[in-house]
Amino acid sequence: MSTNVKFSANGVRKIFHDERTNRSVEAISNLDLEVHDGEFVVLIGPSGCGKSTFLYMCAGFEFPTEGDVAFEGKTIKGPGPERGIVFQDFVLYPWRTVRRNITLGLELKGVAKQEAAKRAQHWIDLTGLSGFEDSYPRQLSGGMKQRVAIARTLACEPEAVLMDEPFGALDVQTRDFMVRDLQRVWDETGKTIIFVTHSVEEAIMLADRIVVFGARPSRIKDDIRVDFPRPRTESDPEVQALRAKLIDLLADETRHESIAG
Amino acid sequence: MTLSVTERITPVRKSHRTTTQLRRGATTVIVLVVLWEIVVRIGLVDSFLVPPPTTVFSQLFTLAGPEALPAYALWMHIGWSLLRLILGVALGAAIGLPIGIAMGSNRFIKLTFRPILTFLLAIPSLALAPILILLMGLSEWVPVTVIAIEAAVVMAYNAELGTSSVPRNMKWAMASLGASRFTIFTRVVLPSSLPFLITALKLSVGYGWRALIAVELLAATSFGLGFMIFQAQNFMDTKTIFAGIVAISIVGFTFERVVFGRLERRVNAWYAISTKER
Repeated sequence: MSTNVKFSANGVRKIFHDERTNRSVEAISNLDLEVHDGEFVVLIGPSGCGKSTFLYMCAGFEFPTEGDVAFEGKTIKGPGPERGIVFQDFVLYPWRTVRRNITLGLELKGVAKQEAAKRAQHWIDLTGLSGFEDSYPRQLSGGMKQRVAIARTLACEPEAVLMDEPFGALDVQTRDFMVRDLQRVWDETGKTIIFVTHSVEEAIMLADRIVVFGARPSRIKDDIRVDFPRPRTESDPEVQALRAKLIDLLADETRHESIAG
Repeated sequence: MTLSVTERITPVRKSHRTTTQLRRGATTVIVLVVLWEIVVRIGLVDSFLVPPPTTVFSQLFTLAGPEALPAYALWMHIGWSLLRLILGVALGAAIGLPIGIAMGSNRFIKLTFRPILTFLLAIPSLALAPILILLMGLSEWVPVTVIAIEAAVVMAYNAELGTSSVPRNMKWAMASLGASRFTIFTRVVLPSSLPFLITALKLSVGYGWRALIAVELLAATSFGLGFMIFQAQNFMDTKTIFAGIVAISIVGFTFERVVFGRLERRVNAWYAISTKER
């Protein structure tokens, strides 16, 4: 794996100001993080810990109040197709078929319709959507919708993929399926991925590196390298030890939260 | 898949419901019309003041035919009323839609136009007719302007609602696929607001139609269903007054059900379920 830095955050602080109540909330305080080329980094932490906010900064939707988030050495000024995003709630366009949702990014790049359809087919096949090309999003189950969203993002051939609790809205069985398939897709593409979740299982199965966020205001509590081979199995003693450690770390945070709040 | 099952069931149930509704509705209308005829015929009500339905309908046919004065008068009245309505709504849309969309997209514009919109929403545009008559005289533009104001307010209100209620993620996802702000507007904001705009159009036509008939009583120079009724009142021609009322309701109903019913079903089927999804 190359050690090229893809994302780097230096001294990031984020304060949200609520105009109605005129109160400020510090979501992130002093965060430093580097994500390398081809790394699969999972950000995990209690809800409201600022992990999604940090992801949105990487995407260019939000900006730090202080500090700097950079992509390939350049400060991020806004969203761009080199940093694809997958949301928890899929965000498909209901008036477009599966294929036309997936070719959307290519259309915006100016790729001709036929060429776009041809390139989309590769991702349709890879994400297991064959046979559903002409369906509309409303005809698909949650898991299938998320496959469309993932294919749409990958079809743009981004340098990095940002995923915001992508399997959070799915049932357990579908989730396991999706985790397995995402791993396969990642193996084939070798993209840099930042994956936000609060599921310990997803973190263990997918990550090269797990970054544990503490409760608000967020700071990094632990940064764990996970180098056991894939596909990982739950019964593996190493996996079980890691799970115990993560659950411990997170329980700690939740306890703090409930005492403080 | 479970979805396809419900999709197959719903239309069946729906059409069954509509036919029952239609049958029930038609029964009520027929009973009322028959009662009206009986009450007048047996002399409970003065048949000069309230002519029986048979007379009203035969008057309606006479007005629509060559013996009317002028010939085919009813069609001319309907034509003029519709022309004013369409002109007014088009003008209102041309003014209201851009304002509403701008309000939905920009906070400063929203805060600037809000008070004006709130003020205009609170008054029936018909209340502006006297001022307009003083300003414009008894001109053809008075009814058109009244409808235009009514439509502009409704359009602006709904367009603002539609454009500002597009989920943030819908725009963000498009942005991170490489779309410019303009592209996001044309490919996400506009299509997402379409159901709101159709509703706005429907409401404008409905409100506009009602306001139009009233303003024609006050300010129409010649022709128009409101004008026809007003003129008939001067001649104590109750048959024509009732025929006019029936014509107004038939035209209004046709617009509401046939034109917009179809348009709304189309748009909802196309866009639809995305609202259910969220």
